[in-house]
Amino acid sequence: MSAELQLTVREGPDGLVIVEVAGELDFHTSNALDREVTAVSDAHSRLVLDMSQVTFCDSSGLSALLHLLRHTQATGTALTLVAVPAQTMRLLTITGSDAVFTIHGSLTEIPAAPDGPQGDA
Amino acid sequence: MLAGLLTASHLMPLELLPSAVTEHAGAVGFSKVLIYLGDLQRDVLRLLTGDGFDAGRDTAGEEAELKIDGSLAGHVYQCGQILPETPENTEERHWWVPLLDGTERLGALRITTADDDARAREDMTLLAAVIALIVHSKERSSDALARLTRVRPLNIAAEMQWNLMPPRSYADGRVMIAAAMEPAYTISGDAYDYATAGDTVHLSVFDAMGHDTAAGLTAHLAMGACRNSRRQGMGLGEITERIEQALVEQFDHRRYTTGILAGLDTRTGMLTWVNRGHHPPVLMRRNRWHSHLACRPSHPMGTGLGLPVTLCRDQLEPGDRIVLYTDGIIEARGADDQEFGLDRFTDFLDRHHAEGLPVPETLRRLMHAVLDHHEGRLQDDATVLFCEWLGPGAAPTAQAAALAGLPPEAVIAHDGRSTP
Repeated sequence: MSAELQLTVREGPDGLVIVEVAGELDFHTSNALDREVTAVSDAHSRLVLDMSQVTFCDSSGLSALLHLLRHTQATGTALTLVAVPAQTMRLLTITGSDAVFTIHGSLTEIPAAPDGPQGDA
Repeated sequence: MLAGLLTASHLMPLELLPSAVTEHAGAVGFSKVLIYLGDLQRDVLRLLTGDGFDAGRDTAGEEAELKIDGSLAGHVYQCGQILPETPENTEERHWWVPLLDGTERLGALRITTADDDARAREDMTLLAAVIALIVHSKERSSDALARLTRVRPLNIAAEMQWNLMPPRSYADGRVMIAAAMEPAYTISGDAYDYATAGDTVHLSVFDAMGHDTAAGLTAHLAMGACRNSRRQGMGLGEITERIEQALVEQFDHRRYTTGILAGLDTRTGMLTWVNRGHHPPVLMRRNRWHSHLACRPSHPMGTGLGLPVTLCRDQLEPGDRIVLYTDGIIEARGADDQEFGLDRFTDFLDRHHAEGLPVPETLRRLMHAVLDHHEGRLQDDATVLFCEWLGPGAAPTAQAAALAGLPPEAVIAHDGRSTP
């Protein structure tokens, strides 16, 4: 069975919010990611998903990530994935989705200043 | 014998087939004929008696069910040979004969006769061909047949998918195609398709996200849109865009399917294909050499991510094998679950190919190996679609017959009839 998905939200400066995702992102847990992170993203201009503790991601997990991307693009929040584990990265690459996400190796690689696509539009 | 059986078949329910066969086969010296049909997972052969809701009751002392692994009937089914049961010294013997519709393996016949010559074997082959045609013709109107060939209930998605997909084996002089899918009784989002039109052979594999009935619906819609577009003459890229459009209309970006769609020009061996977020096909060339074909993936159909669709081309050589697959074949989840892996997958195909085993049997064994590897419980659908390009000529060849597992007698019978 799937391990529980754990989401830890950390507020940062300048409208930044970091969500640490831990556990399996699959059919059983992807709705929770979609629902909860979408809500968090609405109150922030920059959303970072720390994926380092994701142990498995399947097609449903990818679907939730894509839905989140679509949502943040519509609301003007900049979404970044960091520390994506190899299995999840392989899924992103195979599906071509690596081309549509902003992906960084670690939190420190994220540009500090919010010179992203939009501010408070 | 055959003319009478064929004439009678127009108004014959499946339930009357066993008695009609016995009646007509007596004319060529077959005193008894039993029809055994393979279950969906190809584990067992079940006796068609014509009695009861599954047409399999009241077996009158005969075996109701035979294992495909370990029985003579199963061996005949696996290898496509006609074989007699021992002992030889009795007046009559039982012969086991493969039951093939085209090259799709339906089961096996047990024919009881005192005859043992080439003519008798040809009659066996012809009788098997006619019975297979009749069984196939009843398939879409007979619940009894569906019940007989299921050893446990299907889920709804599997019910949809198996009724949509083409047979698990097809061959002519140009191509040998075979497919396998597990878990056969509980599919969710996988589907395969193939079809011929003129010189072109179409191949496609879909893997819809999720493991629920909606995944089955997604795959179903994708296949429907694919066929509909293909039959209107659209190109591969355009077909995938139309699939995407249909999925977005229905599911508003919440459901998607990955897939490979390919067209093989059997005159030239040129393979044209599109990758929509899927594992690229494996090309297996002689001498155990294999590689992934490369083509920049476009986004999965239904996600609407707007990546460009790239049409890729690869020149095949005669004898090249193209293998499309979904990730359930090679992958596993979690550190404690060792994945089957791509190398083990291709090694398995190579080894059995070298042994000369018919391709459908190789795939059956592959799927059982994958199931065993995961202790019978797959966490994802696992699908393989295999296509070997043999050459440009569509006429039947001994090579195609051997790959498909047709008994040699069937090929001789065919040649005999086709000669003017």
